[in-house]
Amino acid sequence: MKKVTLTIDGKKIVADSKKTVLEAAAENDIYIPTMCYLKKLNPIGSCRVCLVDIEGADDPMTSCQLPVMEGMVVSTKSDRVIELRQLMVKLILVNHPVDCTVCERSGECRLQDITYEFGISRQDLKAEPVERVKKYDWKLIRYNPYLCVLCERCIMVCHEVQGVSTYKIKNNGFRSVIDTVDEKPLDCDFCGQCIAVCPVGAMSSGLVLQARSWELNKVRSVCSYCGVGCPINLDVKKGKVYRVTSDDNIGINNGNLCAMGRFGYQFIDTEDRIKTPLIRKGDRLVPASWDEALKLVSAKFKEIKNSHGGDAIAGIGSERASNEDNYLFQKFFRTVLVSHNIDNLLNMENSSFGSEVFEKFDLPIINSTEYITKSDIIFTFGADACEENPVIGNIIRVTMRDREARLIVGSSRDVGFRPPPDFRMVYKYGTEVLLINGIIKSIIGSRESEGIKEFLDYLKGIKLEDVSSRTSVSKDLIKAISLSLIKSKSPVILCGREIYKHPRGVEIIHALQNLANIINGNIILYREYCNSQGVNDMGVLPDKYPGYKNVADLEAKGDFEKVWGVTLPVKGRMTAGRNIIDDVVDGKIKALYIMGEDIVLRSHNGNQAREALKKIDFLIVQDMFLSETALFADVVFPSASFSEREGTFTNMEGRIQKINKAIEPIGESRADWVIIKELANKMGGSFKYSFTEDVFKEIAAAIPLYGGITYSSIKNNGKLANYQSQSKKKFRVVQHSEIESIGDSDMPFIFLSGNTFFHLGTLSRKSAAMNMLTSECIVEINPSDAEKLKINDKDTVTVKSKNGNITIKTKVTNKSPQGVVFIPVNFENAPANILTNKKDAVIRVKIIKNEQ
Amino acid sequence: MSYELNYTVGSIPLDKLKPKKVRKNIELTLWERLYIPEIARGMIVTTRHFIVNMVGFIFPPEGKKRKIFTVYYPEEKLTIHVAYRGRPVLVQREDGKEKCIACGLCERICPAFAISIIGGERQRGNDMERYPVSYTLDMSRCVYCGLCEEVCPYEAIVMSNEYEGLAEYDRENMIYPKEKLLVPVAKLQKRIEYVRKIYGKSNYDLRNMI
Ligand code: SF4
Ligand code: SF4
Ligand code: SF4
Ligand code: SF4
Ligand code: SF4
Ligand code: FES
Repeated sequence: MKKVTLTIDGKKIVADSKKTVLEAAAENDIYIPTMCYLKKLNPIGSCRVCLVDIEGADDPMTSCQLPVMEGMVVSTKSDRVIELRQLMVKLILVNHPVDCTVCERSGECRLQDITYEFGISRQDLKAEPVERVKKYDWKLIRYNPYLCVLCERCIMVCHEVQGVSTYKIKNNGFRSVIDTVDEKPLDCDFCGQCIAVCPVGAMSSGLVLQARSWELNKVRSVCSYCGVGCPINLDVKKGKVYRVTSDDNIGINNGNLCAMGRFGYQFIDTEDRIKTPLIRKGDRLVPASWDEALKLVSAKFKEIKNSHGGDAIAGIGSERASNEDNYLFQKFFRTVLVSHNIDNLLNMENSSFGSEVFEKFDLPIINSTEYITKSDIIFTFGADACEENPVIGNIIRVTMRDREARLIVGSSRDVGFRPPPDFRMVYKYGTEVLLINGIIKSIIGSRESEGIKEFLDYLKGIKLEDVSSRTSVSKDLIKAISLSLIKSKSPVILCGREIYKHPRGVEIIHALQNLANIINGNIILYREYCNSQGVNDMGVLPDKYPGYKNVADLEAKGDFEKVWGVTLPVKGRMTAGRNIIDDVVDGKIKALYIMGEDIVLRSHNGNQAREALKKIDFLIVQDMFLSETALFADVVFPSASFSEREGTFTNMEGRIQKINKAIEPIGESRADWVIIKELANKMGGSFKYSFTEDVFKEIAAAIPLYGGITYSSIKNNGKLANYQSQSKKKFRVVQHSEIESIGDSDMPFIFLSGNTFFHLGTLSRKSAAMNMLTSECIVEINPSDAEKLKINDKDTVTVKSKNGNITIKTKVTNKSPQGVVFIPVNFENAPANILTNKKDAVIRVKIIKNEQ
Repeated sequence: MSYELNYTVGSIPLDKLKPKKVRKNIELTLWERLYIPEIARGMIVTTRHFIVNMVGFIFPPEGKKRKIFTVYYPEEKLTIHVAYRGRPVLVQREDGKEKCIACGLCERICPAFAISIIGGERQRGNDMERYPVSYTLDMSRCVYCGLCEEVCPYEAIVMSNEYEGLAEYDRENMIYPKEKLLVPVAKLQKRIEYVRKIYGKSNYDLRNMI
């Protein structure tokens, strides 16, 4: 990169030619005051507080926008600029009521700081008062035009980072205010980025800050929703979480959060939290003491273990629980109950995916998001980058802005992107492999690699016309996409929920790997929950020890026997293709211990899960809320939320991040691992852990993936686990195969499910703010399909599959292509998992309009 | 380590700040050590006061209420000067709501950490106003310093002239919720005016303060 030499305040400075004067000065510890400048945005240049004098120029210039030039002589402290800067601030203050006493931002307000810094104590300017309208009718966000300094940060962050472009400046001159582009009440992503960047209190949260900023203690934690794992701060005072904030320049999110991360924290102290252990008496769950509950469970477990063997007890770990919880959970089952009967929901639904994609380590799938920020072409496949893991959407968008990266979006729904992607393809669900092979076919180069010969031979048999007609993606589009992929120097492929929940997920990943090999790219796989990765790493799997060591592997068995000091069972109970729920239904399992999952709503087979819970003799549920599943329980253990305890989560990049204790556990709830520890010790185990760190130490020692990482070394940016793929590039021949579809001929729609922007899992349903944004489950349907069925937007319909039916409102949208309907999961009033039963099939549904 | 002694604290040279030794004579004379005479002396003083008071109470002198100055508390009470700092109270507006805007300054300044506020917003006219959803003052901690009153920008908390009924057998009862702290503004007018004077709040722009 080119360097230039300039002088700032008499100091000779060498800087990148692409830098601005402000950046060059900051690098050399020369302070220039700013107000509208924000590192993560392009310079705005609206406040003029950063004025500097340039030798030879008549007027001072704004240093945040001024590029450095060879031989430039800058003065940041001349009398003239100091006076002008003061004037700028006074001009802002003329319209700014000094309502600091009631302003949310007081104490962290840039205008306060600057006024103080400049020593402005009198105002000699005057202005006519102007009537303005405060916006209280927007959801979750408020705008007070009197406080607004028109710095435009909110406009820019919404445009550049969030891609929604909600705001504009209305009117002009001293009447200017911010408003939505259509001047209607705000309807956006509700990410709250605009609140976070507002230097004053003009944009504020609709969840009125009940404390004052200087009283709040920031406790570093990690968002407990999706797999991105954004670092957050829990702002607490006297044992209550008052808000969630985030810091720029830390972690993968760079201060950005989505609506759930920023506003979805209210579940922490809702009334519904379970405060004491509950024991079933007749058909009621009554409060009990910890001692009673633990005694009851341990007695029952002992009884079942003695009469039916440890294999008659099964456990389901949690994608939401920390590594420590999950590790001790499986250790409890393996060492105390002597059973490998543990699993997690993701693996239960799609076990082949996990074992093929993660456990063999020959696919470089778990990659740092740095690959996105360094790429010049981003290909999202089977992912909804805007809605699924919204902050990844932000990363992509910023990369597009900074590196002019191109974006290709492929999905079976028309998910799109903001700004519109360069290429958008909507393919037929189930034809993914074919499509990828088609793309490869039109790229193909001649690279020597393992398996490439067979692969090339196979490709010869593929006809692009054929691919195009079967996937419904046009041939030209395939060609255009291939062309841009070949040209790319550092492409990255992102794949999402559609893929890891796909009946053919493994094949798709292999096909994508072939593609990545050819274009020299990297693949990043989204994960659904905050610890979807960790729960698998910790060995909450029926056939794998922690760190994906095979249960059947005697060497691994020996290793773990040494670490744990017990004799382990030789083989798992699991037969391929069956999971715990199947066995419960068959009566093989007498007791089930579910930690932090609501299987009624989250299992891929809702009907079967309900049946199993009715059938099971003894059910223990460990959760924060009396979930649908907990209602079936014989014993309920109250667990502490992520804010009430320590622990680590592993995000989709394989980054281990720490959550910290911000408040005391609500009621008598305890951290999951503490409950497991107590139970294990009651049953004769010897779990000697005093702190979370002790558990982590054992994890680091037992799992090579986490080896060499100490608990105290996990700081703000977390620590990447050692997921280096060992294998060299390999090509596999992956053939397209038709998927069985379940449903009668009169069921015309393919049914897809997923997460929406404002809800993930069952936690967000407990947050009032998120329910305010959407509380109703909807079915998305294409306009032309809707017209055929004479359905309008917001009609109530019944969606019927072979397995069941749900009643639901419609949303007519182009996002669903013809013949596809989409229903978000996890709504208790419309549990979409009732419609599905088999993982290896496409579910077909029909839609019947309900008569009013 | 040696210090240079030529710098000053304020305008006082440091060597002047050295403490002076005070000699206490704790040696008692023989007479004092005999004890009995001293007790008798004390008893005489006490008895004389008692008799003078009693006579003065039964036969008060003409024209005067009485000759002596003891206040017969609780039957009689002193008139408290406006400068007196009794228990801090919250000013209640004429519409029955609290004047406090939950700015948290008193919570911040209170040296005894006696105040806890949870703020909120409510409708007022067409606009929203901030108010304390909960305002608790722990009277077992309060040291009656009056700093909360001094710092309050809205004249929403003042030191009242109440000093009674503050002792409790149970500390729990000494934690005063908002309801127990509210006193109608009419009763506090004098103190508010006084506060304006002594703290120079008279130049506040009170137009928006209701
Ligand atoms: S925005 Fe800042 S300066 Fe303005 S009232 Fe709020 S705290 Fe005071
Ligand atoms: S609302 Fe805040 S961020 Fe937006 S222009 Fe006004 S002061 Fe700037
Ligand atoms: S909340 Fe997010 S999407 Fe909505 S206006 Fe603010 S920045 Fe834009
Ligand atoms: S009088 Fe002093 S100690 Fe008492 S509440 Fe006020 S500031 Fe606190
Ligand atoms: S200083 Fe006054 S207005 Fe502010 S919180 Fe205390 S009592 Fe209320
Ligand atoms: S910081 Fe440069 S113009 Fe605002």
